[in-house]
Amino acid sequence: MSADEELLFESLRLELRRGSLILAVLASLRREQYGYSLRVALGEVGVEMEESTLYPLLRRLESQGLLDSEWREEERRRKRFYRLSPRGEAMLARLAAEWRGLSASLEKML
Amino acid sequence: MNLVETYLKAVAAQLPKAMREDIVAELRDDILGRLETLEDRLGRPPSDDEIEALLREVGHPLTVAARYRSGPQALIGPELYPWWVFAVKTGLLVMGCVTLIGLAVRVLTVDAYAGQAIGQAFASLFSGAVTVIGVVTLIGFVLERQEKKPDFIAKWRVKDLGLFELGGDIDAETWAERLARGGSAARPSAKPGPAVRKSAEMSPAARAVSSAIGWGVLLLWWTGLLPVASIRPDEVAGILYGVDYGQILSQIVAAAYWPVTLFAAAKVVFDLARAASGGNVRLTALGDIGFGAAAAWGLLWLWFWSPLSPLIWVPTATAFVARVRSLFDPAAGDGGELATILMIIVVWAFAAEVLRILRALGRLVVGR
Repeated sequence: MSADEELLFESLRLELRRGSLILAVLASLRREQYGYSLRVALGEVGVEMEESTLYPLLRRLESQGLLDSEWREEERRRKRFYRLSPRGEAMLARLAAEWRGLSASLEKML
Repeated sequence: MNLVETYLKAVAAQLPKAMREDIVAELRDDILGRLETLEDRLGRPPSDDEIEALLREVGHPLTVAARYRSGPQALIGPELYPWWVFAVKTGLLVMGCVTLIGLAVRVLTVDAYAGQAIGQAFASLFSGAVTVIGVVTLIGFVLERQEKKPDFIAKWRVKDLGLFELGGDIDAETWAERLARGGSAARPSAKPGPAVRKSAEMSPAARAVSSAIGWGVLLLWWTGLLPVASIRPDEVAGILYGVDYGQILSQIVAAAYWPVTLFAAAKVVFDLARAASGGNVRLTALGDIGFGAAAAWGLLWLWFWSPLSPLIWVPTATAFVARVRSLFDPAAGDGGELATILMIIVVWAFAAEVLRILRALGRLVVGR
């Protein structure tokens, strides 16, 4: 029973967090990062993301014009660096406002 | 390092050529970064097992590559899925009914041993079910990949929802409950008032579509394109009280094959046109007159000229009544019951067609 409870909690928790991932990625990319360093940085603040989720997401955000990227050599390896584009910054500001509003009203309910 | 390259090659194989190199380079950098972190933590180069465990954490190449693909990630997405379920349920229901009727006809006409007929019915039920599910899935797959979903998904009308009550009772729970109650009518019999019934009627367009589907299925079965029912109309053989109904039926089928095929095909085309025109009243009335006349002519043919005629033809209304009466006379068990029943059906159907034509004429004049 308690194992079931844990499983249920885990799936609900994942669902709850899914929507916030984009916000976390956009916010982290105010500073330029490459994939791995971004994943580590997100992990450090408790937002853990699998590669198979993060990289396709980065690509999608870039194709939507919210991120800019470039390949550069660093530590003897070629890395792809991502950074928020001006359009991404505007979008992040709007999404952040939305998040704060939602969070405030939920806080009142909880 | 070989393990990582093998892994990356497997991922690359699943990716579109244009973005392959880019994605693999980025993934390689990420994996190497993770390996370096692992090495720092262990204080030694990781073993093959440890590398493999790390790659498993990254994900199976098929899964990883799939995340990069644009377009739907599902055969049939959550929006379309309920439609798929409904279509499969309805399709299976119709198919089950057709097979059961076919089975009943075969057993009753003693064309095959009951056991053999039941076995064949089950076999055709199975292959038919697989075909139905396959076709519906194929259609769903194509629809899922359309930019715009068809109108019937978004712009539905409350009027047409009666269609979706079909198959609504077909779930294990209802059946179990029904069985528990001894198979009696477990339907909560709250009769809708006239007003409710009126609004629950299907819109003319939806009725036209239902009719087109029905005639389409019939057409496919008649022409043998739908291998759902194991019986063909001309395969039903049976000799009852010295009359070979199988032979009569196959003669009728041979004579009526093209007229019926044309009739059904024309009906499908007409119904679709009717649906496209939004169920135009006068168009529908004209069609009803035309198709009613054709059907009435077909029945007249059955009555006067078909191979069945000698069995069912009666010269006068009095003779007709006398024959109907003999049906209920236990002394007259001469085996003519089937012929008499067929006679009644043909007359009844003819009357219904004539009535349909008259009503259509009325609608044509009034336009409503």
